[in-house]
Amino acid sequence: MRRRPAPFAFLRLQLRLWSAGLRQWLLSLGLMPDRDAPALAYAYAFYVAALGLLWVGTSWGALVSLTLQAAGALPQSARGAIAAAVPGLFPLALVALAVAALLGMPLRLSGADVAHLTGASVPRRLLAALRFLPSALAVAAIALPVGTVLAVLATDAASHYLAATAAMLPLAVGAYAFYWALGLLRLATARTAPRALLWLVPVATLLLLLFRSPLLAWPGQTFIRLAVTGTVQLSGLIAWLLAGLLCMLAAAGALRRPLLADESLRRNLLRSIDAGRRWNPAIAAQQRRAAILSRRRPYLALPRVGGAGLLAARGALCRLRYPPSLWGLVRAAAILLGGLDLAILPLRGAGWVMWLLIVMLYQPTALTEEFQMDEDPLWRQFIAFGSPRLLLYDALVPGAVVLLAGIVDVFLLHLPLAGAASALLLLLALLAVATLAQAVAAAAGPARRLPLPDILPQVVGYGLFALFGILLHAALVAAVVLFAYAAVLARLLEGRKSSAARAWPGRADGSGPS
Amino acid sequence: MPEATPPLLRAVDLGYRYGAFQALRGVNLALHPGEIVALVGRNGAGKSTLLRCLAGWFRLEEGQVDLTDATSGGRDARVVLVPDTPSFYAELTAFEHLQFIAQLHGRRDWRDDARRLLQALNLTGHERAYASSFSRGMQYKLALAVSLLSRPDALLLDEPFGPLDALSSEALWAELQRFAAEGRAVLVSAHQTPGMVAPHRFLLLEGGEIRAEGTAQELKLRYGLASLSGEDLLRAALHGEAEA
Repeated sequence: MRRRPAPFAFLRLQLRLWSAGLRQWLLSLGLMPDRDAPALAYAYAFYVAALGLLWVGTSWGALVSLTLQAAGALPQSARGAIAAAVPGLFPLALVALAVAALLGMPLRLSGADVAHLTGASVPRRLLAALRFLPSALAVAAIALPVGTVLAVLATDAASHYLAATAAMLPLAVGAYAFYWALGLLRLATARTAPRALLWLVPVATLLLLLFRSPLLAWPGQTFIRLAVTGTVQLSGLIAWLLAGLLCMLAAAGALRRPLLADESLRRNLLRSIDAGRRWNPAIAAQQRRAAILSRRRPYLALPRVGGAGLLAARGALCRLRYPPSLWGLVRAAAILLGGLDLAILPLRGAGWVMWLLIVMLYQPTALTEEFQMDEDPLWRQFIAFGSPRLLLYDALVPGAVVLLAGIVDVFLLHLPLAGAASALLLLLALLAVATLAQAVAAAAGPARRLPLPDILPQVVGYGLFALFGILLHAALVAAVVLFAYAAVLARLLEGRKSSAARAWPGRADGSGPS
Repeated sequence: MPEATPPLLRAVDLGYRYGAFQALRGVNLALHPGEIVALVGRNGAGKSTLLRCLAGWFRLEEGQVDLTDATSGGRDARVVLVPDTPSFYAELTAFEHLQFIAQLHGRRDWRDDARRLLQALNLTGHERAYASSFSRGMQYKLALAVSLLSRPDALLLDEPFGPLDALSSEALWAELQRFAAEGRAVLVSAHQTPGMVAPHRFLLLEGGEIRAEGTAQELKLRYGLASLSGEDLLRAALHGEAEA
């Protein structure tokens, strides 16, 4: 049997993939792509295409008209400021693309791609070029309206925004090709860690800015010049586009197939985990964490301490080894401090509703990450402390971080001493309630003794804070009420039976080994 | 003979239900110091539920579990269960799991024990790897190493031989024998037992009830078997029931 050469076979496969994708789109529009379709079906296809073009044209006109009206309504000073800022957006976009290229992966293969392509002799440049093409078209489709809006905002109604819009095509696609080149170059080196080269970005940007590099400034200046004067530097634009494409193809030639396959599979795994986040965020986060850490080398070490110090040190070590968990802590601190500021500043309005909404949507679960890990029955049976005491030790590090942020917040607000003291007391009470409510909610499982809905402890706690702290602005009263509620939650937690009860019979209240 | 001493753990009329389904019914058993007992039964017989009830992971609905340790002046015995799919702290390495538990228990002489356990269970060379990156068999061995390091009085193992290769199963059995020889007790659940596994007693659980109990010799005589493994006992007992 005659075998087709790999590049042609791949080309044919890619065409079939595109054709299948197009077929899906057509089917979703009610078109049945079939060679034997009746003439009426073709007439319907033309009708849909005409309708689509009409929609694009009308939307474009509406966008231009709306932007012109908005620009006209702006004072001259504001328009001047926007015009001055627009060229600066281009270098910013280039730096953001560079960061995205080093952290992300422009060329990602599916599991089937990895199985079929990495072992075959498909030229790497052809592979990259064919995968680049559809995404570059999408970038161009986004760049056109963005170019229109920027050109109209940066100049006046009589400007040459159409020329500037057209110039956005080579500018955006060229920049996108540079993004691909950098992303592919990372997969050409032996170091696979996405963050390994990230330090280069701020250093290179700083150097380019220090020497007032024309490379960073050129796209923005060209765009503005076109929008104002209509003068087209065609050769420059073509050179920019070609340079991007050539860099991309050169980087694709140096691409290492095993690295590409390995990282594609890893990212596909993370993507499939993220897909399950909506249904079970805790398990998705746990799987994501394990998948990421399994590729990293451990740094720092568990110190040789015992008891509470060991639990706190373990918590700090875990967070330092997996920095995204620090982001959760920052978010928790921001939510709690936002509530504190609403309570202590003389603000009026419905801000408390917004705060309640945010705190319930983005619950500060990061405060109890360690406790939730320790609550796994396997590990809980090795820990002799009772639940309230374990929570106290586990929440030491995250609690200290939030309290420290609170002290800075109160200091920046220049409150009088008494006001600052009551604000910190209120934050401490809110922190205790947030932590205990999360812990009580996490105390689920067959051994659970709390016949409460998971959400109830938090709804009551944040509701009490909103009522007494924010609505009534009674910081001290709110602190007393919240501390009383925290005591109730602690009692509930204490009454819960865990796997430690049998492993430390009669001693799971903290009287076990140090 | 291990049964000469009072039991470390005694379950009396134990019952547990998942909603309307009665998973355990009137279970009575005792674990004596120095004893290794195999709990055999088919999938869904209630083995894992029984172990979780004994370990206190599930709140008891019927019956009670008594813990005593005659060797330490009346102190209650410590019971630790290793589940069939243990989970780990994602950010801690294998060795740090051992370190964490040893330091939490205030042990000073843990390093030699930890290294010996890792070596015995064929985990040497993987100490610095994150435990969450381990295969299922390696994870089970690590959970077992941590449990042994914490020195419980009774160790309950849920399906330990399922994820292990033949050599690791041998190593595990040797460790369990060593553990029991120190006057501690082991209860191992299994739906199949490797050839070298020779427990002091067998318990057959079927439909949430103990259907047969005894030493290998007693059960061989009762069912007229030439040899006895968990599978033999299961087959013979179920066959006998069907005939009856």
